[in-house]
Formats: sequence, C-alpha cells, structure tokens
Amino acid sequence: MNILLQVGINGLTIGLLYVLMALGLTLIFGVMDIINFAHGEFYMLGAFFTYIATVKFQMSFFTSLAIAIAVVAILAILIERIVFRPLLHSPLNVLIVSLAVSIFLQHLSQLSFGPDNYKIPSPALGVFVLGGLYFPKERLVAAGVSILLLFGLYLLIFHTKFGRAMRAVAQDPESAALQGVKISRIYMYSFSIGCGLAAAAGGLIGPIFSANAFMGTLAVVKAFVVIILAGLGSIRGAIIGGLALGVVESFSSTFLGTQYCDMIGFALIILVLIVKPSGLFGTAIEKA
Amino acid sequence: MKKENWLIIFTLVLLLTLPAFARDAFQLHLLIVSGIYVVLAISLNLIFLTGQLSIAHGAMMGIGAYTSALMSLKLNWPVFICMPTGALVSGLVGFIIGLLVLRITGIYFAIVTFAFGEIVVLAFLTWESLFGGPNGILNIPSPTFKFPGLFEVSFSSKLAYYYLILLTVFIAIFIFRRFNLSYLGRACRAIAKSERLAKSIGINAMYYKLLAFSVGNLFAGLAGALYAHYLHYIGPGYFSFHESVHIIVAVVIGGVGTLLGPILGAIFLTYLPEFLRAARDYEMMIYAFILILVLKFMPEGLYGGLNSVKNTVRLFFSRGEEQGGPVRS
Repeated sequence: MNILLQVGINGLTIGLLYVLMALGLTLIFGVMDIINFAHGEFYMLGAFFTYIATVKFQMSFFTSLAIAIAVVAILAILIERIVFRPLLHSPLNVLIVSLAVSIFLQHLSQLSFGPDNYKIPSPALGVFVLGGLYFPKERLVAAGVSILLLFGLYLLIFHTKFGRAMRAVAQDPESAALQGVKISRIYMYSFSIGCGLAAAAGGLIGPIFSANAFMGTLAVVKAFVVIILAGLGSIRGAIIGGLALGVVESFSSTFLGTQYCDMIGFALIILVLIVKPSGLFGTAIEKA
Repeated sequence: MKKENWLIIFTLVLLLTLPAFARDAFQLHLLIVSGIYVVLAISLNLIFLTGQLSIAHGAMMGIGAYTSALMSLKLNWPVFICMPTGALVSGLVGFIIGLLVLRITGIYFAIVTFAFGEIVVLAFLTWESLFGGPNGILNIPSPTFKFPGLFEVSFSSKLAYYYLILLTVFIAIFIFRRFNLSYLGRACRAIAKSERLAKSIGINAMYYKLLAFSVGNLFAGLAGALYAHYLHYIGPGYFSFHESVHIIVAVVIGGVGTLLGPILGAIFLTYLPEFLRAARDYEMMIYAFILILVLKFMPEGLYGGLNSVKNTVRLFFSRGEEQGGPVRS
C-alpha cells in the first residue's frame, strides 16, 4: 500500500511540472489559436538560464529561477514580435515557423553547452519523512513553486482586468477588439506568460533531473498529449490532465515499460481527436 | 517548336547526362538522394494541395521502406515486386488513416498525423523481433530486374540506381501534373480555400482529400522503398519526426502548391549541407534561419520568389519599350 502511495506522490510532483508546461501551451493556443512547437525550447532555456545564474553567478536558486523566467519571457516577446506576428493569419505557417524556431534554439544551445547534462544545484537537500512516506525536499520545493505560480496565474486570468481581456480575445478576437481590447498586446503578453511558465518548469526540473540541449523535445510532446486529451485551450483540463499524466507515468514506469506508455498516449490523442475533437474537458467549439 | 518544349528537351538531356558530370561516387550519391527527396516533396505537396499539413510523411516513407525491406529479406521476393508492394501498403495505410481522420482539419489534422507518425516510429523501435528495434534492418538487397531467359539488369551500381530514381521522379512529376491541372487539382484547391464553400457547390470534399492523401502516401512509401534498397540499411531514426519536418521544409522553402517549387526545395535542401561544410556546427541553425526568412519574406517559396524577380525584370524592360525603346518583333 505504501509503495502505491509513494509512486502516486512522485507522479503528482512531476505532474505539477507537466501542468506548468501544458498550461503555457494551452494558454497560447486558447488566446492566439496557434500551435507552438518551440514551447519545449523555452522550457530548456529556462533550465539553462537557471543553471547559469546559480553556477556562474553564484546566485540563490530562487533568484536564479526568477531571472530565468524573466529573461525567457522577454525573449518570447521578441520572438513573437519578429517571427510569429507576421504569420498569425495562417496557423499552419505559424506551426511550421515554430518548428524552425525550435530547431534554431535547440542547436544554438547545443553549440553553446554541448551535448552534456547539466545538473542545477539543489535548492534544498535531504528528505522529509511523514508517515512512512518519503518526500525529497527538492521535489517539495518544485511542487510548492508550481502551486504558487498556478495560483498567481489563476488570479491573473480570473480576477484582473487584463485577464478578462485575455478571456475575451480567446472567445472572440473581433468582438474583443470592438470593446477596445488591443489584440496584438494581449497576444504578446499571453505568449510571453506561456513561455515564462515553460521556463519555470524547466528551472524547477533542473535540480531533480538535469538540463541538456534536447530536453525540450520530449517535454513538448508530453505537453501536447496533456492538452489534446484535456481539450485545447481548456485551463481546468490542462491541470487535471497534467497531474493525471504524471501519476500514470509514475505507475507505468514502475510497473511496466515506458515505451508502451508513450504509445498509449499517442493512440489516445488520435482517438480523442476522432471521437471528441474538443477534448475531454474542452468546450464544444468547432474550429475550421 | 515552342520555347517551352525546347526547355523541356534541354532539361531531359541534362538530367540523362548528368551522371557524366559527377566527379566521384559521392556526387552521384547526392544526385540519387536529391531524387528521392524530390519524390517525397512532390507527394507531400499533393497532400498539401487540399490544405492539409501531414506531419506523418517520414513515417509513411518508413512504412514503405520497412515493408519492402522485410518482404525481400524474409519472403525472398524479387525486389521489383517488393518496392511497389511497399508503396501500396503505405498508400493503403494512408487510405485507412485518412478515412478516420481526414474530417479533422487545420492544426488538429497536423497534430493527429504527428501522433500517428510517433506511434509508427515507436512501433519500429519496440517491436524488435519484426522490425529489428533500434538496430534497424541490415543487408537489404539491391533490386535486379530479371526477364526470364533473356536478360538481367542489376541496380547495384549507383549509376543504374540514378536512372531508376530518375524514372520514379518522372512518374511522380507526371502524376502530380495531371492531378494538378485536371478537375481533381481544382477541386483540391477549392477545398483548401474553403471546405464549406466547396461542399456547397457539390464537391465531395472527403473523396478528394482521401484521394490526395492516399496517392501522396503511396509515393512516400515508394520513395521509402527506393531509399531502403539504395542504402541497404534502415533504422527508426531515418523516419522520425525530424524526417517529416525536413520534407515539409523542402515543400515550404520551394513553394507550396507549385510543381517546380518542391523539386527546387528538395534539391536545395540536399545540397545545402555541402555548401555549409565550412560552417558545419552552424548547419542546422542556418537551415532553420533560412526557413524563417523564406516564410517571412518569400511566403510563396523559392519558386514564387524567382518568378517575381522574373516579372520585375520583364516589367522593367517592357516599360523601356513604352518609352520608345527598341521594339521586339
């Protein structure tokens, strides 16, 4: 029984990081109607910037994480302005250009960091024991920061004027524009917030696993699995889906092989998109 | 004879004599690989004609390659029967998958094909007893064409293989051209512009999308089979997501929807690493950068870009004529 609980808890802590990734991706999709294949690269950059700040500049983990998120968010604004915005009228072209951005960033960081793994120094060492269950402290930190960020995002989206404008643009850009919402600015900030969340996930996973130039590829695939199963653009779905994926993975990698788990994930994507294209939690909007 | 016909004859003669200009085996190799990518790009372009972006083209190529390789090795069938069978299997898989998912459009279709491609590659990786797992399949035989009692042609040399590929490229171009210029192509372009409008004037959208998807995947399978019997080795890595992206990039850089565009794009991408040899570390970055630049400044691709340059030049000279310049007869 204890082992089941332990495996479940391990899954939930990793699941929270998937939630951060998936929320960023689903936020960008919900507001801008685009698929960002480069999302995993912002996650990777978040990990590397955290690494640089902690190791090269000897800053504390939390300061480094905040700096990494800020730098990635600014970088995202630049990329959105220069690369994505001119193509926004054609979602397929945006998809292709995001692939190009992904390849570019991946090889840029491979060039600067090589193919090695970099481990970010742990913010808190040791294990916290409660009722026979083990909670590694670095995972507790990751979970705590994720929950804080999620709560902040919730307040931003549902309790501020800016959040209301974002939801309005997600529902109907033209009507939102008629109400005086500046769409291009909402796009810019949404993209930046989404990428910042990915960077946070990257910075938090760095001490648990490690960072390398190609870590984004697998992460973005997982985020895709989550948001498609949950429903593209659904925030509630991304949270439940991310946690569920973490738990399922934790169980299957303990008791089964991981490769079959990946295959099941992709098969579910196809099945869900055929049967209920809006996803399990999505609102039934048919998009052309 | 018309000017266009002379151009076609010139190109034909050039293509047929091209191996004579190849200085070494590696240059011949590049010609062959370009040919395979030309077939892949043309076939993806055919699917793209209906406005559907498939990210499973690498996987479809893999299905053809694995089918043909396994049939020639395990069943000992002649390669010239295995290769078309591999193509047919790819086309059939495309047909079945298309039947299921082609009513999904836009980004959603792209994601479904992405997921399908990943499943296929994972199957190549995990089903070791059949597909060989990460090691792939070795010692795939070269095709030999046997006519009982009369003659036997072996395609084990690069030179012979070049002509085999050239023939395939001609077939692909011929089929794409017939498809594109006929009612089929017009229907597909109408569906790409607005599926609802196309349906409202009586175009059976599903039928044309399915046709384009099946034929496109059939040629992807054929290209994969040609690739397998040329390299004598295949592995899951050759047909991954990155391969699919590479083919998409060839089509987009060349010019979506045109005949010459994807051909130019495929050749350009095959020779790009050779030009970037001095900057090998930066190769992939430059590759991505070119893609971004093309999408931003030449949304119609290299072909469209060349055309607009040609038109500008023509316009420039025709203005000269209007102002009393020399009049051509």
